[in-house]
Amino acid sequence: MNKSFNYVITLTVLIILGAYFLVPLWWLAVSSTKLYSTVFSTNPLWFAKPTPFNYIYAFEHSEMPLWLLNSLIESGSAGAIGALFAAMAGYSLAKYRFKGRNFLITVIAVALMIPSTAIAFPTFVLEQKLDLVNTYLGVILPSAVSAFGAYFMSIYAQETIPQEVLDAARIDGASELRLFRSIALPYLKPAFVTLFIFIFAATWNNYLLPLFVLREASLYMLPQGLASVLINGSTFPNLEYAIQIAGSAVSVVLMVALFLSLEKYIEAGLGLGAVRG
Amino acid sequence: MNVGRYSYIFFLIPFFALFMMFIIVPVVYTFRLSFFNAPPSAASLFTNYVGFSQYLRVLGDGVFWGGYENMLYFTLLWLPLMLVLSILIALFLDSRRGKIGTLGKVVVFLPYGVPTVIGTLMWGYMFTPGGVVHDLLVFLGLPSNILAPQYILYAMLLIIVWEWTGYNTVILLAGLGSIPATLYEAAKIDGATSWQLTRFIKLPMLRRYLVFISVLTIIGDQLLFNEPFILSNLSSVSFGFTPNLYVYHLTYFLEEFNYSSAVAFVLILVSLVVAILGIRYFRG
Repeated sequence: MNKSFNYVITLTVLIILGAYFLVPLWWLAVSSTKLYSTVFSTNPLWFAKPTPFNYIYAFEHSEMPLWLLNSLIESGSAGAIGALFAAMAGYSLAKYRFKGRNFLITVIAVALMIPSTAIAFPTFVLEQKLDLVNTYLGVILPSAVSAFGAYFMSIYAQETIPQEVLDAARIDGASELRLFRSIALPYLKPAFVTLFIFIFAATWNNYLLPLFVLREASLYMLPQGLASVLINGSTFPNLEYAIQIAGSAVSVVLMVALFLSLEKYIEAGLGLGAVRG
Repeated sequence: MNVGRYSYIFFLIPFFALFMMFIIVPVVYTFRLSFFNAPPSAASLFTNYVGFSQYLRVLGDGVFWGGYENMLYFTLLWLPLMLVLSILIALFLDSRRGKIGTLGKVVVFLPYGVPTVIGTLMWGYMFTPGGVVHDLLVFLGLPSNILAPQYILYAMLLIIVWEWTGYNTVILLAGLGSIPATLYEAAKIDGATSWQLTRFIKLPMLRRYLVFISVLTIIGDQLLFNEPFILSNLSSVSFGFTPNLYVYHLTYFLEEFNYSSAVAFVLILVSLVVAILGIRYFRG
């Protein structure tokens, strides 16, 4: 076997794959500095008369900043509420023995496999009855329910929270709520962060639910808003392009920053999820 | 506050309240709706009980089966492609822990940080004449009108492989990281080559992760919505392109709420069956 030949092959494959993964993001960065009128006539992968027009227009004259804010509030709340509720339920399922415990675990395990996108319509009908349509809560509450989260937390709690520590604190007279707050939560912190990111990302990415639940342009989430610009058709291609490209760039930068800063937690979560299936 | 011996209930309530409301109730509601066929003017969707006839209609619905056929073909293309790519990348990055490994991991994982709607919008621009992909296809002498109906499946393939390969690679990397070092050492003492290490230790240890990824992928394919829905604004994508797109169309545009519930319930059942088969294989 020829070693340098192998090396060349490996390098070629790496370059092609690297380009595949990175070029779209590079294209986005470059294109966000071009006007729509030049984007298809200039080198798509290099700058040509860079201008901040798209960003300025999108931030000052469109609803894009509102969509961004809606997405941040809804994804953040869903992540925090979802992770907390899942931590409580998981802790309870892992650390208490009671009748019906196995039944609840089975119910959660089955629900893990129910695709939430298949129940967007009944969720909308329910929300109409509860007056949740066109509200933040209408997105936050359904997004916060994570069967995977509760399952994940129960396993994590089982494996990390030492029973002796709980027992000792009980003997010292600590209340059950105190046990959860001062002992369980600190142990569950890594799982909490992991779950927060997952629910945050899933909510940020969700398109079908907001499509049903949020019906006023000012309430849209970011991807939904950007899609609506496309769907409503082109009357002012320059301006529509500005909103889409600037909004996409901002969203990508935010999510990538979030992922990079919390990368360790993501990996831990992926691993555990897979091992337990 | 001491909630005493029933405190476990207190911890369960918030999660299960939302769980009941936003998972159990919608699923049961969908199931119940599927047994009726309310006329458009009816005050309630639960009028005109028709038994299982909506399900018989699903069985004979060419658009529904067309969606499954489409997705079956799509899965046959993309599942092996994605598995091979992510195994290769994971093995490569695993053998280069340290700077290159970390950098590579970040690079492959980046696309997962792009919301699928936005990713599809971006690729859509790159597919149009003057865009990168279009120009590259012209350069390679391939059909360049990748947004044309007959190629749209491949356009979606390019987008979805881009979105998910990195995510799955990171799962596999976690799997490779969990292989005990003693196993490698023992094999090396016995004189195993790196190919043998891969073939007889790494790949078998990855099996459960590969099954996990495959199950999620197969379930995910019938539920594809964001990509085909966005693409349908750039090209002519049939409304039955994926089963989930069909459900949306039936509900939102045709307002066939009872029938769309039957179709949605079939999707839920198929998901459950695929998952259960996967778990069985996983354990067996």
